[in-house]
Amino acid sequence: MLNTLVRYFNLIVITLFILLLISFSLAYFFPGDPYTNLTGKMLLADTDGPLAAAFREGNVLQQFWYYVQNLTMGNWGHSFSSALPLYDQIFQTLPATLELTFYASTLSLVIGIPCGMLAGFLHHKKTDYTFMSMSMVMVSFPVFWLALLLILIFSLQLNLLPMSGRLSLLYDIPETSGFVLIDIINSSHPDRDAALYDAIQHLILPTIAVSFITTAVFLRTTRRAIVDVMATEYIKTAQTRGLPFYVIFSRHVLRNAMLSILPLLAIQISTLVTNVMIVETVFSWPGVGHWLIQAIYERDYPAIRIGMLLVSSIVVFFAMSLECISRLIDPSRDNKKYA
Amino acid sequence: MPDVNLYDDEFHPSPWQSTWREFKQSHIALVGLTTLSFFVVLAILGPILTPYAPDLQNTTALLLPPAWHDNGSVLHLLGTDVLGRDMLSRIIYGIQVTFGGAVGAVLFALIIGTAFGVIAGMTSGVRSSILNHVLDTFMVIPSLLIAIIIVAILGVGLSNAVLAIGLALIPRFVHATRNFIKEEFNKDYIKTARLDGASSVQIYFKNILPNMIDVIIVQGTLAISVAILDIAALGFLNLGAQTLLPELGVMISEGLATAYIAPWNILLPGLSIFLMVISINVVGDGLRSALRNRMSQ
Repeated sequence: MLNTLVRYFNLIVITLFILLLISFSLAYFFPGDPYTNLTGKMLLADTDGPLAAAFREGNVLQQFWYYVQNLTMGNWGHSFSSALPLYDQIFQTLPATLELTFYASTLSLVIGIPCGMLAGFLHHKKTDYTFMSMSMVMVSFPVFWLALLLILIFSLQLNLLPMSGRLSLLYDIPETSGFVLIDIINSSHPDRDAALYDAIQHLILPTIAVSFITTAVFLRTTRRAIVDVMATEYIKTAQTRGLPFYVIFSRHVLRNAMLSILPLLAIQISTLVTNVMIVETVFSWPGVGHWLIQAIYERDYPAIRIGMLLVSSIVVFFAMSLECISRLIDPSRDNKKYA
Repeated sequence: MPDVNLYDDEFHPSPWQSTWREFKQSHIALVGLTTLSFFVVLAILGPILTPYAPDLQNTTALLLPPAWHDNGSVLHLLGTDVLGRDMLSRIIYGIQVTFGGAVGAVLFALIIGTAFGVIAGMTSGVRSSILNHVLDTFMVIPSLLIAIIIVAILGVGLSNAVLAIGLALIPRFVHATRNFIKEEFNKDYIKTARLDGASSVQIYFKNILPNMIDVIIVQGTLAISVAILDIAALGFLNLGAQTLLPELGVMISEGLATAYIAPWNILLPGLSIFLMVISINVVGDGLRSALRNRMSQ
């Protein structure tokens, strides 16, 4: 167990290091001066700091070293377009993205996994075929088109739900944690309940748009895992022993199916993040994806670099942790994969 | 066994024939294949079939609804957009651009990804470890981020978007190839070949490659659907194909301005992306289960 933990810790560190290297080299790949691309400031003869000195000398190793040092000190550079520190900007937008991702993935898990189990147990029955065809249709939706359809139907035609943003401008909620629901619940605003209702209304459409596709993927993954487990010999043995269904389910099926579901969920995280970023743009959701896509329109290279580094680090962290957990609870898996 | 003719050999279907036999069993997969071939024909014959040029503006018929609508005209079967361009022609050209771009991206990813996968699968020790770590890192970067970075370095345009999506698709081919080769190397027939003195290269070309083609084709089919979605998404976000090119995602983002009075300008291009993707997914899924059934026979 300790062995696995150490190995995954190593893996995360190595992966983060590669990401740091990529983000540093981006400054050289982007058009313009590398120092300006890294910090958002011009490199003048009297610019202070070890990083500027390293750039004047042209020592790439030192440049990378001081770049990493700056990152750890929270000195992430400045945006081209707003000249604000990127550190503050990222932490203004990140909670919105995490919030949307969290709700969407929870919804997908709550709907997708039980439905997938049902489909798996009723393998090659009508329910199974219905679920499979439905999920096939759901996976094939282009996410931006789905978001537009939702806006067209629920906002423009039926006038039920708001089409953009996180909260109506009427409610002035002070930002403390950045997570809008938590902020509202903790605030002492006189119309707190109305604000909460409004925030939830704003959340519904983006959450549905993101979770629509993810739910279908989770459903298919779970179904496949259940079908595979149900075909094994130990389930047949359990059935011949006359164990009741719920015992077989909780003792054998659930545990073994989860082992193959967990690593597949880890792979899905990056797709989920891509969908969240696109949906944020359509719904003008003030998150990292929306911010990054604005940054590319404005050729804001420091912002693109740091956004890429941060989003992929978060994805790496979650994906690797999920994989680590699945490896911990399943020691039978091939341990020599990375030799 | 009834009427066995001793003089005829028993019929042994080739692997492809038996795959096709299994594939035919599923009606949905056949419908998907028909739809997919329809789209392929449209993509290839596009310029011959379209009634108008994709950028021909008919200023007497702006925002004309589709023909089945009361105000529609049979001259423009799917209506016109805000500049009076015929939607049917634009969608057919758009299928050509989007589908062609996706196939290009997948071919690029397939060639490079399979090559890396073979190297990763057949090496061991430190080299394999380094390769795997680097590849795993690229695997977790979301594809949209890779596309954003490529666009930031090289600038916008369809060819850069295709390159970006191709790069983003490489890891899935590497992964599939690597896992397949690792699995095959543990099987007995490879060990037998090794005992016969075959070198790694010989084993790869004689034993593994013929078995691997199925896996790659299934991966490739599914990757085309991902590539179509990504190219359209980049076009929609104005990071891929640019306004003059009739690309389906670009058409949707152009239709946004008139979404309220002319929703068909959004619905129809989106519907054609959706139909393309679902037909590819159905074919890919059918192919995968056909292969699985063939193996289990």
